[in-house]
Amino acid sequence: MAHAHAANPSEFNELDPHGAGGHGQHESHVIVGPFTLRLILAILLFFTATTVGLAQLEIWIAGFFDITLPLWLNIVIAMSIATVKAVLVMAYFMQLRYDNPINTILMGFCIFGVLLFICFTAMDLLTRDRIYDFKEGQVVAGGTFQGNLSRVDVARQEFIERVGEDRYKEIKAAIKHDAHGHGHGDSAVVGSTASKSRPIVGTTDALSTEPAHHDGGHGDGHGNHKAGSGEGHSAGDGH
Amino acid sequence: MSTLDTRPNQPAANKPVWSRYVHGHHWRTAAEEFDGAKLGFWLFLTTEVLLFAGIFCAYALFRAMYPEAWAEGSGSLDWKWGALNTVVLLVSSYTMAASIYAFQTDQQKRAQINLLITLVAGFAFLAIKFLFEYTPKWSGYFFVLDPALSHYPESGKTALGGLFHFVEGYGGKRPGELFSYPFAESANMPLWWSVYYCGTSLHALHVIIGMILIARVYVKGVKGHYGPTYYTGVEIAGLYWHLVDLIWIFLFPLLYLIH
Repeated sequence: MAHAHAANPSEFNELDPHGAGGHGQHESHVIVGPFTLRLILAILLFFTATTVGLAQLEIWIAGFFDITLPLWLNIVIAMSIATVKAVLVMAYFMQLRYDNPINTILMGFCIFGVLLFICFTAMDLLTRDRIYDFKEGQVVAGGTFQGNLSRVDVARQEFIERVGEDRYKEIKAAIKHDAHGHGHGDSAVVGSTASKSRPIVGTTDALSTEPAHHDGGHGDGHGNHKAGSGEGHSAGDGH
Repeated sequence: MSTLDTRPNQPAANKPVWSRYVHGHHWRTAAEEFDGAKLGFWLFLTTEVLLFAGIFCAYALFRAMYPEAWAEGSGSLDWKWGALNTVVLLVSSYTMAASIYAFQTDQQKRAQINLLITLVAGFAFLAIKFLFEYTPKWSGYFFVLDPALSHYPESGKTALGGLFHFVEGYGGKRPGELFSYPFAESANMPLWWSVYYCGTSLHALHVIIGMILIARVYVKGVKGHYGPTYYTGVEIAGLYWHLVDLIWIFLFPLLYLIH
């Protein structure tokens, strides 16, 4: 009986035709030593400090030099560092680097599936205004809105009714001062548009002082009708 | 030597439990059984990633649609707690991997200590999440040790014998219909809090499940079930724990750092 994997036919073991071992040991598995593990931990902690530091630095630079940094910089830096960290965890802590490649292939296909999932949903949701143009005039204030008021407005009114107008202003001043070092300044709402975000502190691209309704047209993904009014609930949907 | 031949000749009972482990009869070798278990668990991990993909998808799309709500939302989270929890999870991932190394080299005490540190880190993560993040945001009650408490005027209201101090107008940052925070600017803040609570609480649930797995592995480890020739259970619990870490590696910058 000829077998490709058995060099000597007399040693061929029918229960172990591929010569996988048979001693009940994990001898085929690499032991990842403490030095490697500690090095990886140190790198991961370093990257954590880096991503936090860079996020703070962006806000500081924007504020100190009074310049605007594009928002994609913030996203790309944070997500790239997160991806590097995730690869390190999978390769060394989860030992994919030393493992049977089928596990890596499996995870690769899964991540491909996640990207498809997000991209296809984005293709649908983020382009609806192009086909639903006729609904633009019917869009009302969003959130979990009650009547014509968003849940946010209802919450504010309920609070004012409970504590009174004067006390409301008092509490607002006390609560909204910069408690955590990343406050809730009143200026924050200014300059927000549907296509641009901005941080609560500092000036990035969209925190600039341009008014909310400055860029119009349908070319920017979703029209400016959502900028101030929020969620695109439409009377045509039966709400 | 076939595996079948070895079965009747198992070592005597005074040997450690792990050295007496016999793999399932439908596997040729223990190594194959180990690989099979791992493949199966990686398959399960892909479904876990897809589960969280729903949250990430909601985050990405609502962020694109309502950037002002997302900016305001991440501005009301304190990155220091998020960063601290990141460090806690990374260290626990290391101790988990280190316990596997210790079992592989039959250092039982070292393995047990590493597993215990992992468990303590899991508790620390949940304590930080619930005491310093969920509770004040949801109800306005600050844990008495919270450094942020000193930034706000005392209302005089306390709960649980002074353990929690109420700050008027801070709480109510809740998802959807439950939202009652009076000072929100964007009309879509309830949506941000929905995504925040769904993402972080689903993750916290995984932390709890991971801790149960690790506790089970710890007990079995104390009984001597794991050693150089058999540690599949530790490996599987470890993979799960690392996935919990992986999810947090993405949740942290998305929620706390990107504005």
